[in-house]
Amino acid sequence: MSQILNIVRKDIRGLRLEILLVLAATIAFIWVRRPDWLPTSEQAFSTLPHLNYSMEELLQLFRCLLIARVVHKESLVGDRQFWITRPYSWRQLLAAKTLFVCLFVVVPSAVADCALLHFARYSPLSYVPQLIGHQALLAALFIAPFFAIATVTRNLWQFAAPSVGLFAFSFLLVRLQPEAVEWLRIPSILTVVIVAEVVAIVLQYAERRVAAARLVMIGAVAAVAAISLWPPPDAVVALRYAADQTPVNIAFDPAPFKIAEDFDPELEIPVKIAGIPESCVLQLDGTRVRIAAPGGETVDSGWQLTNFFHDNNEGTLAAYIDRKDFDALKSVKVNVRVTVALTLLHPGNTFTSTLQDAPFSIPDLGNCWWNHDASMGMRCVAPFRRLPPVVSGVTKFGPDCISISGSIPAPVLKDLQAGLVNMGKPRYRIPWMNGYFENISLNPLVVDFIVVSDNASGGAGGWKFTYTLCSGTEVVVTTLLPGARILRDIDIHDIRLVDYWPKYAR
Amino acid sequence: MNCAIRIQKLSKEFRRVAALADMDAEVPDGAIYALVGPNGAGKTTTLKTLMNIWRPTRGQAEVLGVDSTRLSPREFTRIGYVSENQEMPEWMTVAYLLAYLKPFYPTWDDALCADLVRRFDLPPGRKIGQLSRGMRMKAAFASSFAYRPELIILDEPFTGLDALVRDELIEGLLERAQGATILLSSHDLGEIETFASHVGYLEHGRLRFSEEMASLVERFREVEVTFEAAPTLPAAWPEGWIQPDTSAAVLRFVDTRFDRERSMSEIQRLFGDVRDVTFSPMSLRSIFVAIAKDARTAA
Repeated sequence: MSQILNIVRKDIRGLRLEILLVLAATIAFIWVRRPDWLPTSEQAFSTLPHLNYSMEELLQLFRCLLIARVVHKESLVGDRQFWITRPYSWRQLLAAKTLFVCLFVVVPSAVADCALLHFARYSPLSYVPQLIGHQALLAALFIAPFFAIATVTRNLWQFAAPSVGLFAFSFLLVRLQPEAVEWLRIPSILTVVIVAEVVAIVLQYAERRVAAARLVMIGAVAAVAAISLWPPPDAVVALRYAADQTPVNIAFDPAPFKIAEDFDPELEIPVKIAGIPESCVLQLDGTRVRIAAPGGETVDSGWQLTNFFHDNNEGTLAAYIDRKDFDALKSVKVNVRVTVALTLLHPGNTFTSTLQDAPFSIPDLGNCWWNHDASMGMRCVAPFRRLPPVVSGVTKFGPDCISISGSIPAPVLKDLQAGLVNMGKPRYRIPWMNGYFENISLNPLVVDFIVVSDNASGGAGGWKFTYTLCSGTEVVVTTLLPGARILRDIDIHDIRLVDYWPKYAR
Repeated sequence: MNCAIRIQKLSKEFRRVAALADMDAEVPDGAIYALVGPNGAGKTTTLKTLMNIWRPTRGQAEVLGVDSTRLSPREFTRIGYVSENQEMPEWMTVAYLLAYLKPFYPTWDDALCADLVRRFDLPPGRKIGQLSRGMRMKAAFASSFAYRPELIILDEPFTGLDALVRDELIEGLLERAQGATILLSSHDLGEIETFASHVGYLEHGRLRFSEEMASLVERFREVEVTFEAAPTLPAAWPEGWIQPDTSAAVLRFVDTRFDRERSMSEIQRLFGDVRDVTFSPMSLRSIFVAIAKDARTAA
C-alpha cells in the first residue's frame, strides 16, 4: 500500500496543473448544467455563453488529458523508461494509477452528480445506487477506453490520434446505428468494450505486450462496428418477443396509400389494427421490411425506428429502403414482408398538477417547470433516466390562458380511460427517439420536454396544438408502463412497388 | 564458481533479423565484466534481454539465480541499471527523484545517498530536465547505487561524457565495485582496460570470446619477425595468427594464442632461422581493432 501511495503522491506532484484544470472544468460544468429554472439573470447561459454548448466535451477533454498524462508518467511503451528496471510491482502500479484516476476523475464526477442533483432539488442520498451505476458506466465508456489507449501509446501525440479516432467512431456509431435493436446491441457492445479494456490494460501492465494489447483494442473496435451494423439474428429477436399472447392483430390494408408527395424512399404501409386491450396503446420498437423479387434479389431494410401513427383501427408503418433498391425492383412483382416489433403500453399512474410560476414536482416524472415563452409544454428534469412515455392533457385552464385553436376538448384522462386515446392521434408521448449512447452523458440530469395540449393531432397534416398553458392551468399526466412484447409479420404478395408507391418513381 | 549472470544459448531476433545468436557467457560474482564490440554488435540487446526489457527469442539467461523473463520487483531491489539513453523523469528535482525511489528499496542507505550527491556534486533542487548530460548520468548513477545493489548493469555509461565526468563516474563505480558484480557495455576500451576484470567481445550478435582480462591481454601479442630477405608466406598459415602484413624483410602479425615457446618454435618451423623476433604486448584497443579487421577481411 505504501508503494501505491508513493506513486500516487508522485503523480499528484507531477500533474498539479492538469488536476487543477480538471477540477476547474468540473466546477464550470456544474455551474453551466444547473437546471435553468433560475431567473434568467442568474442562468449560466448568460454567464458563460461559450462554454455552455461544449462543456461536456471540454470536461471530457481535460479528463482524457489527465488520464493520458498519469498513465504516461510510467509509460508502458518503449524500452528506455527509467521505471522498468526499478522494483515496481505491476499490480501496485496499476492500483496507483487507478486510485489516481478515481481521486481526480471519478470522485469529482460523483461530486458533480451530487451537486447537480442538489441543484435540481433531489437528495443525492436517495440516489446512491444510481450514482454508483452512473459512475460505473462513465468509467466503462468514458474513462477506461482512454486509459487503455494511454497504455498502448508513449506520449500525448501518440495518444491524440487514436483518441480522436475513438471520438469519431463513437459519433458515427450513434449516427449510423439502427435504433430499433438497442436492447440487443447495447449489452453486446458494452460487454465487448469492457472485456477489451480490461484485457488490454492488464496485458500491458502485467506483460507490456504492446502489439497484443493494440490488437485487442483494434479487434474490439471492429467487433463493435460489426455488432452495430449487422442485423441481429432473427432467432434472437423472435426469442425476445416469444411470450406474446396478446390479441393484437395487424394486417396490410390493400387500399392505396394516399399521402402528400414526398421524394424520400420511405415506404408507408397502411395497416389495419385490432385487438388492442382497453386503455392500452402500442409503442413501436422497430420495423423491418424485406422485399423478395422473383429473380431471387432481396432487399432488407434492417431494423428501423420510424414513426407509427395509429388509432385502434388503422395506422401507418414506415420503413426506408435504399433508392437504388427501389429503382431496381420498382417495376417487377415482389413479395414484401414487414416485420414489426411492438410493446403494449398500459396506463400507470395519473397525476394532476396545477401549473405555478415556481418549479413543481410530478411523481414519476420529476421536477418540472414551464416557460412563459413556450406555453405548449413544460420541462421536467429527472435524475439518471429519461421520462417514461406519458399521455398528457389539460382538465382546467388558468384564468389568463389563450387558446389559439379555440377548441376546448374533453380532458385527456377521460379519453384514455375510455380507450380512445392512442399514441398517434390526439396525444403526445415522449418517444425513445435517440440512440442509447446519446443518453449516456456526464450530466446525471435528463431534461425532457412534455407537450401538454388538449387537442394535438398528428398524421399527414402534421401536428396541431392548442397553446393553453398558463399559471393556474390544471395538467393531467398519465404515465405508460411497458407490458407485452409483440412481434408480427405482415406479408404482402405480388405487388409492384411503383404501383403502390408511385410518388417514388422517376 | 558462483555467477551473478549465466547466459545459455541466448538469441534475440527482431523481425527475423538476429541481433543476438546463441550467446553463452557467465559473469562471476564480484567480477567487473566489460561487454565490448562494434556498433550493432548486440551489446544493448544483451543487457536489455537480461533486464527483461526484451524477451529472448530462444535460450535463457539467469540473473541473480532467476530466469531473466521472471525477474520480479524483489530482484530489481538488488540490481542497479543505468543506460546512456535512459528516459529519466525530467520534471523531478534530483532530491525528489532520490526521495521518491527510496521507499522502493529496503536497503536504501541515506548516508551513502548523501555521499553520492556530494561526491557527484549534484544540485538537489535542480530539475533533471535542466541538467547537463553528464550531470544526468551522475544522477542516474546516484539513484542506482544508493541502495547498494548486488548487481550493477551499465549500458554505455560513459558515451558522450567529457573526461572529467567519466573519471568521476568510474571512480564512483569502482568504489561501489567492492562486493558488487558489474556488467557494463562500452566503446571506451581505454577506460575499461584500467578496471575490467573480465571481457567479452560481441560481433554481429555472436560472442567471439569471453574471458578474464588478464588472460586476454596475456594471449595477444603483436609479433614482428625480421628476415634477411623478403619472406614468402607459407600456404598453411597458423590459425591463431591474424592480420599478417609484410614490408620488405619484416613480417608483422597478431598472435591470438601467444605462448612464447610455442610461438617461437612455430616461427622457426615455418620460416627457419630469422634475424629477429619481437613480441609486443597489446592494448585492449589494439586487440579489438585487430579482431575487427580480421573479421572484416574474413567477411
